[in-house]
Amino acid sequence: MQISIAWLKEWVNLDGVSVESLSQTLTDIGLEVEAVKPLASFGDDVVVGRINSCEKHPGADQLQVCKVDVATGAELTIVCGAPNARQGLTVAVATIGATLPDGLKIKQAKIRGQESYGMLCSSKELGLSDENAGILELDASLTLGQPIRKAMALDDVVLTLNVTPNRADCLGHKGVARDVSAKLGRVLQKTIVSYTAASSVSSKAVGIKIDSSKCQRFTALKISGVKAVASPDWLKRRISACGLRPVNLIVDLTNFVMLEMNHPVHAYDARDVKQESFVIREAKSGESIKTLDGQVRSLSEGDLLICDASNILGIAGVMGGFQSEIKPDTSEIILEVAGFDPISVRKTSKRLGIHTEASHRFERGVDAADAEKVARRFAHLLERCSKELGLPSPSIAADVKDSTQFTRQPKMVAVRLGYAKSFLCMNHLTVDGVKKSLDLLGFRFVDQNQERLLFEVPSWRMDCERECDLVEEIGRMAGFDKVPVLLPTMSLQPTPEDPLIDFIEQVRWVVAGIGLRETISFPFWSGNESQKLLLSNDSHPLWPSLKIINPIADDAVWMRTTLVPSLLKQTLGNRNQGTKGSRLFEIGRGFFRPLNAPKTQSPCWISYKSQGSHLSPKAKGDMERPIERQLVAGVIDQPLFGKVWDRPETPATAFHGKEIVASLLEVFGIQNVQYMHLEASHGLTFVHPKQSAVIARGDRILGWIGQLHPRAAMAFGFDVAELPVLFELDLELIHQASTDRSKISSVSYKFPPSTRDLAMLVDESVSYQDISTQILKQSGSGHLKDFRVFDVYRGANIPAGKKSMGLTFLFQSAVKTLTDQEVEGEFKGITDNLLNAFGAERR
Amino acid sequence: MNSLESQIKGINESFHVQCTEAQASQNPDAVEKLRVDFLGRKGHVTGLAEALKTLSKEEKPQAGKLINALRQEIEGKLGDLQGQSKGWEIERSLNIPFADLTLPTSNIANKGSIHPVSLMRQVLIRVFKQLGFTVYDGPEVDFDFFNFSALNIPDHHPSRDMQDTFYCEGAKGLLLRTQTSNIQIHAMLNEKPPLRIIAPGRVYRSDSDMTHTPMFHQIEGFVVDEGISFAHMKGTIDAFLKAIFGGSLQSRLRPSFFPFVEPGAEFDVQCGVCLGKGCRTCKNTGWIEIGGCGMIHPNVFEAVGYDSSVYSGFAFGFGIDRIAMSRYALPDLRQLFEGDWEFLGHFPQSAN
Repeated sequence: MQISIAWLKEWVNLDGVSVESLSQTLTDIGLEVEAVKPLASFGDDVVVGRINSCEKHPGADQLQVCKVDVATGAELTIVCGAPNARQGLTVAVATIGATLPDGLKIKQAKIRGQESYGMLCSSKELGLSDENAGILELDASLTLGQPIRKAMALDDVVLTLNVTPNRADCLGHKGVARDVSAKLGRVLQKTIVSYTAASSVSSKAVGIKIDSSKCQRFTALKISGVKAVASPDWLKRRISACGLRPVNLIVDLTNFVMLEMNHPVHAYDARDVKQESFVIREAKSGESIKTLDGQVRSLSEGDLLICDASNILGIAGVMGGFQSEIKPDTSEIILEVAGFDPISVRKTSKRLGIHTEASHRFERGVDAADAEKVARRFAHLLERCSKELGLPSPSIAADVKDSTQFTRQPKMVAVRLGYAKSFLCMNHLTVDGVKKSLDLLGFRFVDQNQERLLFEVPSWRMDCERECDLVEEIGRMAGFDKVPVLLPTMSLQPTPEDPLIDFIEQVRWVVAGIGLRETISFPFWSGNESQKLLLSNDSHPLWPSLKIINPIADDAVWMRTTLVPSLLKQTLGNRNQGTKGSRLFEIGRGFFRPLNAPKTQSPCWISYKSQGSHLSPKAKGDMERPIERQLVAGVIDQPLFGKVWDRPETPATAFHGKEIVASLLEVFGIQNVQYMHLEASHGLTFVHPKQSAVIARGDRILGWIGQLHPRAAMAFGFDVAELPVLFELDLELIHQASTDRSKISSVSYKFPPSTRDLAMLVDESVSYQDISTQILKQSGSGHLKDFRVFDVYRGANIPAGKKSMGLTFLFQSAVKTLTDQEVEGEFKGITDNLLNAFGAERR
Repeated sequence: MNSLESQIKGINESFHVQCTEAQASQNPDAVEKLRVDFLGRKGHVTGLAEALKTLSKEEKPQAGKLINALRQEIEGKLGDLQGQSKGWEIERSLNIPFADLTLPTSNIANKGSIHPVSLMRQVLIRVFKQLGFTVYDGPEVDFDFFNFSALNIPDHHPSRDMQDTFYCEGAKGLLLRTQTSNIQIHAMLNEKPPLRIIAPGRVYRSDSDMTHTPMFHQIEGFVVDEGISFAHMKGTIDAFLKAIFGGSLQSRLRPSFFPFVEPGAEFDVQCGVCLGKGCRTCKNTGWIEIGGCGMIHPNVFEAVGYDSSVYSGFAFGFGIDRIAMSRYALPDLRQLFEGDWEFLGHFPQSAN
């Protein structure tokens, strides 16, 4: 909302209030000033002058040499190229030293050999309009030598206010002035509505029929003998200061009244209102109207329309019709001042995509109670302007035709002073002070019961419903800066916190500590991620199911189910910028539709069937709620290391993915984790079937690690020779696993250990996990403290289909030094058992 | 016997020659070799024991004495030499070329990092935890009731224009939350006062330019108890702003409007670039907008079944990304969500 300070001054005395202090005051009462801009951005050295003579420039056809009188005694010689420069014209002269709004500094100059002592300015050069065809032609009655700012009344400053949706009443100068007046303790000017009524015209004959409850009130004022001429300068200036374009006197006045009284009004050419009767009704489906802007709008059932006996004249509160607009020969008008249902106006304007000054105000709430006053204000201004322009006085009806006997139930709200005091922590509040500031805002004091004060809410304050609203008014007027600064004193008993929240923070630090960089991406998919991920069909658990109705772009339609695609996209982005070997991770949510719960029986996706702990127990009962799971996923791009001075290039393998996952699980003491081959039932179609594992614990699948499937890699735009390694884990499942950790051993081993090595030939199909399970099964009560693989070998001397595995066993006791015999005995037991179990051969 | 004597003599001479050589070489290895050669299991002195066996009973004592004398002499000398040798060993390990530690290391672990938004969130949450707040989580996809209507934002109200909402297909009123304020409703429906809750999270709005992204991060905080006043809100926000921006910058509250609070306000902190004088960063206002706050509207309490005549409270919310942007002087918000490996590695990882 743009507010002219000069206009504001017509409503409230601002003597002694600087622009800065006015801006501060407005911001302090909740009408935030976003910008301050002077109407004229030039100084007093641009003055009124008159061209006394004009001669052709001897050296240039297009230029004239003008002698200009600026009342300084001697005439100024100014070279001017404007076609309309002529003898006797009153003009705006930028004298030497002046700076124009575009930064041009006026200096004495020689133009084609002719000295020039200033510049005659166009409207555009002064920043007043876009008019640049010639120099500005001023009223001949202006005093020569007077600064233009003063002569044209440009000494104004325009403030851009951020008016919040609750303050509909401040979308007009009067409303803003009222708030300022209350804050400054000054009186708001009365609205002048007087005019000389003509006996020849009456509004009585205007018919008004309201056929919808969406129209609260409709009033009409008939005026004849009007002329759609150009408005007086001051009116044009007021309107353009607020960002509207002057059109003609009638249209300009409707805009002026709206900008002043915050009540959009509409003037109809009386010839276009059949039988001079209005019907306000709701649209039927299939109807349409050509609006003022020349566009044909198709209407929907329920849109509120202003019609006459046979035609649609306009869309109520949104935009008038093309047909009934004011024309150059319009002489008789009917002025509409109405009140419409805000929701109805909003729905229509939203659906049609028309946002106008009128709809903006009506959807926030326009005070229907002031309709007649607004009509009379228009009449007053029309009479005044006609007189100023030397036009014959228009014939204005004395009466304003009202749709109904409009009554408004007064709204009463009480406020307890003691409550306001303690709520705002403002002990200095008094009954009289509160009464005074609310009175200045238009709240009428009605009654008092000790400290309980009853007020009638003014009709324009649709935002005030209950006590807290009055408390806000009191606080706003007193100033939030008067509220002391205190910390609450409360019970130390905290609300319990979901431990998952802190766990996730720890995971973030652990994964970053392992060498991955955290990224954050938008969780939106275009939909073709499903194909790239090679998901079979919409019964796949990872098929996206949550669709955005109004996406911001075509590639942001679905909510993701896995973090993999965005990680791959960002990894590619890094590659394209020349960064290889990036390692990103993200912590975010996957979104799953409960009704679309995975059809696959694999336990892998069991977690995607239930809500995460972020959801409170009460909301969990809502079965239509999409399921959100907290995920952590990472990607290791190729190579793990480029070639550096102390080591060769190292490709990333699924084992590097495992390293990250295993470290993470180890940090949180999660044991008994199995790494299993991928199976079709896991549905991990986009993961390399051989270079991968599903991470399981008991009957639950926590996540997976693996290289990207070469087919998926191709789809995402990766080189098949450089498959990135990925992992993804369900954070809540990991957290649950971390809470049931086994007992921590407190034994310290102070006696020397003994080690024994075993190398054996086993079938390729035997996994390390098979061997370790076998060892653990057998060595329960012995002194085997640790064992590890030191070698896995295939090749020379090893038959095809076999591999050699080298294991080191460490025996140690907490209570004594083990004898060779004891160690040998245990080692033999383990060895025999392994050789037996796997049909292995010792090497 | 004579041959033994000359043998001993020969060993002795040979030892002294080699001993002098070792001394000259200052090589610890030569000292060890000397020990092995003369006193080791197969050493010269040890070998004399074999020769002793061939002697007669009468000759043995004399010969034994001679051998012992030799052993003692060699042991003594060797002991001195070994003592010196320790020093030579230290010298040797120091007497090497400089290692070029200007060469880069290539451990991957030190390349990891936390996202600036996460770092910022941790800093912010730590402040509130010190003030006794509990972190609370809630859904990102929610129903209209939790995101709007329970927060006193009725349908078809212009205040909905303050947030461009993404709506979802499926159940009626399903949307991506536009604000973390939905957690107010979830928390109040599940917990009893007194409440001190802070709720960070991702939020979504249909908006995209230099300073807006369709997804960004907010923190919502609220306090509910008996007797909570506007002054308590000022105090809490003041404490938080001081902790984040330092005590030297002023802050202010100015009246504003959010449907779920009354009175509502926005809180600003003095511009750190110009210290309130006005500059480009603060659009000449001298202030930087941080967030919104207000006293919880009784309509909100009533929507969750709290008695608004007993309880009062305040709520506040602000964007994490914006604070991170100003903290790290980032020009473009979108950069935070592009996953640029180099960019992500630039942020100091201490959460201070």
